[in-house]
Amino acid sequence: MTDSKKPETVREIDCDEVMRQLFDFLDGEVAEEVDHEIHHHIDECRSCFTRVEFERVLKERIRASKDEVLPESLQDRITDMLKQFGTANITGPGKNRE
Amino acid sequence: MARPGDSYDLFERVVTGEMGSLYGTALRLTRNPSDAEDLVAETVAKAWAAQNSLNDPAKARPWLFRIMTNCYVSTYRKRGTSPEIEAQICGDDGDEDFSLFERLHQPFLLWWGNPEQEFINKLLREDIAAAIDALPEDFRLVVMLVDVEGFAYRDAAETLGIPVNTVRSRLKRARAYLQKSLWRHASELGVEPEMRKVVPDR
Repeated sequence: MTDSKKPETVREIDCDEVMRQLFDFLDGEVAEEVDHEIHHHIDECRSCFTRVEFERVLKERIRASKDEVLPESLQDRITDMLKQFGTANITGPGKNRE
Repeated sequence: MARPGDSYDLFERVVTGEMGSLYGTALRLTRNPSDAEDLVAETVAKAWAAQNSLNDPAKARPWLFRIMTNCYVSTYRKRGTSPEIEAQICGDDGDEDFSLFERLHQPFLLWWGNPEQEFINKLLREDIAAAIDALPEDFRLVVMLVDVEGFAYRDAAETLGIPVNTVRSRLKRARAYLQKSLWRHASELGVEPEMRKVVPDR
């Protein structure tokens, strides 16, 4: 007998279910089992694959829009604050005052 | 046993490591570089005063962002709202199910081109920043934490002091508004009509 051995059985889900969980899936907020089910579905469904890919790439672009370049003025301000905290921390409360 | 300098070292490491993220988020929240700097400085000062409440260094990110969110809500919230822009995005039609994909996707073009991909390729960083800026505050907060900073829903919920399901439902609406805003912006720039030209005339 040639029973095809499946390494794991993945529940079949339909397109509506994929769409319902689309963002939870992209955000990594679904259970491992659901993650497998969705991957399994989009491997075989071009329409869902296209949609998931679109949202995934858009999400990446939104993430990449992050503006992290610190203005020098803020950098200096924080460095000064940290120095001040450091001095206060070593000398103890009140002792750093003249 | 912890030595006197230990908590300072941890604090300095956490603050220095998160400075870029804090400023980036502050910039989108206040929509103003000078307010953003003040917000970050105020956050660092408050965080130092509250450093004993940081029990788990692994939770330093949500801890810092929570302090900043609270500062923002208490000090800056009143200043920066722009009802006109918000009304345009979340206007009368209340399009909470708006989907860019559905607007762009044209199945009959499948073998000629990919309008969705083209649309995304043409988006500039500034376009996305402007679309985030146009979101109502509650939505801007969840988008910044989850989409931009990559917070898990649980951490975003903790940071904002709201239930996880509220994070989820706000995100859903926020994304619809964000996509609608990107669509409007692209239409104004003529990106959308240009893509229509892809359709063969014959």
